[in-house]
Amino acid sequence: MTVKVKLVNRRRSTFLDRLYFPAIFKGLGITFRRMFKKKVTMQFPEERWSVREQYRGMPVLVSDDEGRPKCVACSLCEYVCPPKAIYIVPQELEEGNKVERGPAVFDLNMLRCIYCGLCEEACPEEAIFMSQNYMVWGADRGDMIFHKEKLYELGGVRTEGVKKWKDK
Amino acid sequence: MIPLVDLAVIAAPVLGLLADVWEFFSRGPDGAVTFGWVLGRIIVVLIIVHVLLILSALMVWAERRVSAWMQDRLGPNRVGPEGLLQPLADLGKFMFKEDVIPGHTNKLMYTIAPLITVVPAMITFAVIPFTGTFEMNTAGEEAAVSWQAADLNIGVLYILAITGLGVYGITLGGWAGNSKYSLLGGVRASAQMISYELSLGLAVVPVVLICGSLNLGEIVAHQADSTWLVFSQPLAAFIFLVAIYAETNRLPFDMPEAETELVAGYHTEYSSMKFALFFMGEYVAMVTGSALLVTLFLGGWTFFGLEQLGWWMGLLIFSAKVLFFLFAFIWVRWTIPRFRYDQLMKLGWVVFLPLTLVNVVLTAGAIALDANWIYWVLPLLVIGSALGAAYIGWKQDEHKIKPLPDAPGVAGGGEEA
Amino acid sequence: MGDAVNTIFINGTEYPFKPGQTVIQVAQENGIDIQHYCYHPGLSIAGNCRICMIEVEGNPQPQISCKLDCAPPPWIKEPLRVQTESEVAKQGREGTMEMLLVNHPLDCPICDQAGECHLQDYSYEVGQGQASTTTAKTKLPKNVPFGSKIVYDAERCIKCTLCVRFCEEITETNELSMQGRGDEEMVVMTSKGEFDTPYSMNIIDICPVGALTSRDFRFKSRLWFMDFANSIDTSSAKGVNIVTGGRNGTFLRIEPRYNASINDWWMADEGRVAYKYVNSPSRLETALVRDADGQFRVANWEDAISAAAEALRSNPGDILLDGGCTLEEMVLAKDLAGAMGKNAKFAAATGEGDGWLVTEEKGANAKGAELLEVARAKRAQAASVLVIEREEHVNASMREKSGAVVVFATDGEHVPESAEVVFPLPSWAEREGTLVNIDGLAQWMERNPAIGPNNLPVFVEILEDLIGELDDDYAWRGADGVRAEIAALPAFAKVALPWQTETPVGAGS
Repeated sequence: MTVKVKLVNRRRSTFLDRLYFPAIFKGLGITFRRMFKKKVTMQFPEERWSVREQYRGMPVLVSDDEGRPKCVACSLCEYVCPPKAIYIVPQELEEGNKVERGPAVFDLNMLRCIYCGLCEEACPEEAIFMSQNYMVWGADRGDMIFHKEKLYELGGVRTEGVKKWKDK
Repeated sequence: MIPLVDLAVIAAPVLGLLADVWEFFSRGPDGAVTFGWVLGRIIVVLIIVHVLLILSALMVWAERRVSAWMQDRLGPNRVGPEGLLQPLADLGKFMFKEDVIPGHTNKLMYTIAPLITVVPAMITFAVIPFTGTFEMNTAGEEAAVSWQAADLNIGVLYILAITGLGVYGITLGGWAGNSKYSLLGGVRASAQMISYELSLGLAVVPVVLICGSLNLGEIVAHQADSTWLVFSQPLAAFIFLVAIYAETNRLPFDMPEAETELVAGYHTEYSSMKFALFFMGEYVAMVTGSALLVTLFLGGWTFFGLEQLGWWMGLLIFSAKVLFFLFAFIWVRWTIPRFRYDQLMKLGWVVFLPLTLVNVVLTAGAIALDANWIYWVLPLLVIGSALGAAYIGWKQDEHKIKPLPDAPGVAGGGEEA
Repeated sequence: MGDAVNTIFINGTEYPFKPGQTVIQVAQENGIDIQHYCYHPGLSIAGNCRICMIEVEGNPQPQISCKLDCAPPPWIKEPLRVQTESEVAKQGREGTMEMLLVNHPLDCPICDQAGECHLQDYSYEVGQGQASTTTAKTKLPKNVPFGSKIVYDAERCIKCTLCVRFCEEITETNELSMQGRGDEEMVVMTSKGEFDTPYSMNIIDICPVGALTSRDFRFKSRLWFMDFANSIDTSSAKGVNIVTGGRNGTFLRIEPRYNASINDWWMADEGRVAYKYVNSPSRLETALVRDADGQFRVANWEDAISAAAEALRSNPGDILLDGGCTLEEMVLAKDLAGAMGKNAKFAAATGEGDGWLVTEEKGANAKGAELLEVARAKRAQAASVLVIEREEHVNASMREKSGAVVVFATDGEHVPESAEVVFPLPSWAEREGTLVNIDGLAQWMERNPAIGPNNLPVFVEILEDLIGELDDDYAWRGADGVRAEIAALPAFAKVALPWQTETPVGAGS
């Protein structure tokens, strides 16, 4: 195999090059024309980034088509969560609920969450999902710990997926 | 401990200036002080100061918007319409930020340095005629009030003296900051100022020679009568323009505050309003420099007779010209990269200084031989000699550029391979 | 009978057996694991779960190893040859597993047994992963209370009848029975109402699946979050072997641990719930010293120890120990009393016993104290140091009438008025040491790091520091030094001390 060498010789500068004026005016022309080109900036709060379907935003809890919270506080997400962002206290639900068990406390610390999606993967009930929500904010550290009610509100209803407790 | 010498160096020109100004105010145009005249001065001074401050604040906004446009961005557009109130927000931020005075600084010098930067930049504007006169009736007296804070008959000298003061603020700020970055920035500033002050002064000399006056109003009048000096003195105008860029520490000559080399240069140790004063000083100096360029070379507030419509027209013409050069400041900043320091020095001492000297000699010679030559022969002669010098320089340098050695097996080397 | 077959080949290796042993027992003795649900070494053999299938060579059908006698029929003179991992055995187990899961609700996410469930474990090993049936699962009652302590879930139940057999054979109370047949079969209570015999909760442990779960532990924590430690029950003096389980400082569960010489596989319900006071919200976490205003002020350990020494110097007196203190702590308490020229005594409550695992004596180390010649305080008496772990031992009148100045207590509620310096005392689950049960058997108690407040000082070290403050000539011995001293005592000559024997006495699987 022979290596092909392409020798690029330095172009000798001409008198005009050495005067610099043509280059300066050329440059000024480029920047001037640039001013009227289309801008790429996105005006964030008004214009929103449309995310892809597979985008992993903030994890949220979902309800089933009957509006019943799907989470049964099995704590698998808490166990699998690498930065330990999830804290669950299970409770026994009253008679009349289809499942005996649900979370009394479900805290998601979004300061810790690394958006890895392992919680969604571990969930046997398909109750926690990586939403498309990338606007996670809070005025203080307490605000960034999302509680159960907020997570269900963000998650909304999901009709597809497992319905293990449908007939219970 | 402040060296007394330093204090004297600062104090002498300031005191001299104050004496001059006092003397001027106490006389009036016809030698008598009238109430109307004094009132007019005060109003004009207040207007100038406020317009300058507002303009410098708007320049910050303009700089950010224009640079954004040139980079396909939008720039600040949230505060107020099109982000026009951004300077107000910035001001609020500067006011309420903690004013840190580092413990290792010289407190007095550290405090007065920003003032020394901003004040000369503003008082230079006092002698610039930005429109004609208007009649004012006060206490039964008709008086022609000039739209000029001080109609000094040594205006050009005044300007050269005051602009020279501006560098003290930067040098002192850099020295008082007592850190290596600000010191380097200050030293660079002083060296740069000395180099370009020479070219700046020598570029003004032909103007004075041709107009025969140091009074800026008369220089404008002379240009209105004959032709703009940029046509008869193109080289001087160009060198003046470049020197103004260097004087205001703007790219491509922003060596004193080269942020990629010196953190922030001479104002590294400054914060809050003191930093804002440095910032303001730079932008006011830009406005003043543009106004000077317009006045000395571009006919000031005149535009081929259009200014006779009224004093407001003169103001409009003047503003338009100044705003163009302010835009040019921004335009050049985002186009041309920063010079290397030795290139900067070489440009000042080896190129501009000889060129301005030759220009002065040729102009003086032309005036002595035939006053009419200055309109046709002189510009051609000056530009011709400049181009000739450049050609000789290029020919000499050509021998120093060694072509690359030929690679084995490759015959010769194309002009552009 | 001289030529009777007395060996069996399991997976090609010959093992001896004793007459009457079944295959699974011989296999377990020799470390061969055979899956099982309904087999329990402490109960009769029912052989109804069918998961322990093995292949007997020469027999086309797999056999259940729990009920298969190792002795071949008398007309066969050859030893049995069985295979536990052969294709036939595996197929038998896989089929059984699938059948057991046909109606299993697979509600592991809400099941407390998850993590220690044999159904999970064996399903992981031999489960198909996919059911052959598509019919809907049978619906049976869930969340059925068996008395106030136990919850029964008929859907999860695999009908192994272990709980029924426990009630028949161990407690002989017959509260439970099977009812129905086929997929409708379930465990029911024969008596209406209560099932609160003192040993009822053992059926939770023996239940191989999540059909029987504890009301007390219900939904408290997943098992994989908890830390476990082998400890000794201190609610009575029998020395029942237990496992303590806790998480993040909270004591969550006590389960019995096999020990053939004391409790076999069982423990009393009383001991299972004897942990509650450890989680008391008024647990002491810092040393407290009474300042000039008479108010308690938080102090660091050094200050508290010197303040305690000061109080003891001006106010020397007896030491009154909790009956649950370990041997090491008692020895050091004696030394502390000796440094003051006084005596150490212990107090322990007595109550009802049942002659089996609940003793009348409630002081867990009462026998140890006797061996160490620490006298028993029967009435309230003056003392300058109190060690209070369970309030029933050093009871209220003893506390208030003692006039003690230095108090070691688990709970702030138990500190008497007279206390000048208060040290937080780790509970028994947070301490390690040696206890001697009422039969004279010395046992080692492990510390569970997941229980109790953080950064509590080691009781033994605080005691030693106090002795050192009072006695300038004191040479620090450490807990190991104290143990060596105990071993050298003549009273312990015949006691097998757990740290001396390689395998602790009576310890089993």
